[in-house]
Amino acid sequence: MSQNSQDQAPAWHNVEAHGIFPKHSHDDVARFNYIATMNKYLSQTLGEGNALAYEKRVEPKHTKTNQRAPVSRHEIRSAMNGDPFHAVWSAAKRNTMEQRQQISRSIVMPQVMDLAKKAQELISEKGNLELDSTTELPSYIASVDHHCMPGSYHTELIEGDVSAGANYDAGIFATTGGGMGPLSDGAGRAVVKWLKNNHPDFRPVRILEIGCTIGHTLLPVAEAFPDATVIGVDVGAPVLRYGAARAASLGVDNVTFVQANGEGLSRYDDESFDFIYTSMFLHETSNRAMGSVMTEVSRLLKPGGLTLHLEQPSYSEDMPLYEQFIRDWDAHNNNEPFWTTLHDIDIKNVLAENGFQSSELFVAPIAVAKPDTLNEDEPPLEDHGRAAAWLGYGAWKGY
Amino acid sequence: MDALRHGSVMAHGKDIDVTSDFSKEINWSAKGKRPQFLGDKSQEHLMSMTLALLQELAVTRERLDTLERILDKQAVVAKSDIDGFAPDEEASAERQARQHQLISTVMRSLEQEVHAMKQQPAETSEPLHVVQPNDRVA
Repeated sequence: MSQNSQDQAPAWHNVEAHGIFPKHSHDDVARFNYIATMNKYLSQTLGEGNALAYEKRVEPKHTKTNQRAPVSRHEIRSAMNGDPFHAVWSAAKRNTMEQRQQISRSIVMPQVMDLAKKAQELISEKGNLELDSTTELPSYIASVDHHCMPGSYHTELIEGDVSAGANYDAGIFATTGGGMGPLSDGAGRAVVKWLKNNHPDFRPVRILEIGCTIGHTLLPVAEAFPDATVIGVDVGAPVLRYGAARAASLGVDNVTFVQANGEGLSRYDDESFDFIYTSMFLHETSNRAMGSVMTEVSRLLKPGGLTLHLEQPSYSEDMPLYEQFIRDWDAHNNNEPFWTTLHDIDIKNVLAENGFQSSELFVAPIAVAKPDTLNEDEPPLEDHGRAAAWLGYGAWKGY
Repeated sequence: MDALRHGSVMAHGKDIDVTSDFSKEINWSAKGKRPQFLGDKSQEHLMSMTLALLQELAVTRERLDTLERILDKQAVVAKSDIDGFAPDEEASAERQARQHQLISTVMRSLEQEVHAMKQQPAETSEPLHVVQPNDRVA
């Protein structure tokens, strides 16, 4: 089937290779081109097959057998798992996730030593990294490798290892079909764009991102507020090292990467930040952890300060059950166990239960800002939970 | 630099020798239960292999396309040069190593199952059913 160039997944050579980006070959690029194209093919070309299978045979059969339509996305999932098209589509999608990981690991593993050395040089020049080896790994990170990423964000192969960060960074452009831009930093640029458009007078001087990994979302915010002190915390040492080296190589000087658990940030004083945010982070935590994080956010935020949390929309009663089911695919098939629970929760309520007043709360649509294009306001293509558009669940403290 | 955390590395059941290369680490599985989408485990393996082959075929075609475009632009290579090519020992060793890497890429899911079976205690292990020539599909 032929296609317009606008419908194609962007080729991987559009990735911006900063100073700590792993070296790669012609065939590595071709492999990622395959993955991005396959992802797009599975969602845009074959994706409707799932809806068709549901409408044409799964739903009618279920309704006939049970004398009623499915009443939950879980019931739809259990019925759809028996459908041969959906089973093969799911198997192909899962394999594509696994292949994406294998490809970046095959790029990164031969240069584990070189990358660690290069990172060490970049970090020691800037002094933008604070590791704390006493940081304990929370169980929600230790028990499962999120989005099928072997070794997750924290596994270290050698002293000074950055391979987990390099592996994550190398493949994310292919996973997101380039939707986040050449530096895969679209979420950060989206936050900046939203602030400039809606709160142009907001001038935070101390900024904190919780669960920053390699700083994809941290750096655009730091660049937008060059006089601010910007701190990113995460539990994974290898992603923090890689992030600090990446920031150094990109010339972003006002950021520090700190190893700490967002549930307990006693190292920072009460009311010591103007802006605290997370981006696609909460769905990788747990119910209990999310409450602890928000309690810390409420304590750390100055009066008049802003907190903002980017996630895909919650499953509300208005969202059709089939849409909920297809958006839930990653929870069950891509190692995102908290995804399904989180999307049943209104994050505004979590803020309200942990120190914020209901009058302070808001929800705002926040979409990716495309770089180098005049079509910044063109909405990104919907991809059932994967599009580069989110809801920002937030609060202005003391409003 | 902080100390190496053996705990997290050992969770994957690997003995990391920092002096060796990390080619064995490429095919790690992600921690967490893998769903079964198809009828049985053998079908899952076949799907994994087929898609890996599709990937590598796509890569080969892209490389050939690069070559053809460069040759077309810059030089002419006679077909007999290609047919008559005999690699020296170094090139031959490189090519054999690539053969191995290609096979390991395609056979990933089986490597992962072998690794997983090694970690399982004997009483719960599920041996792979090897299809015999006389087996009939029901």
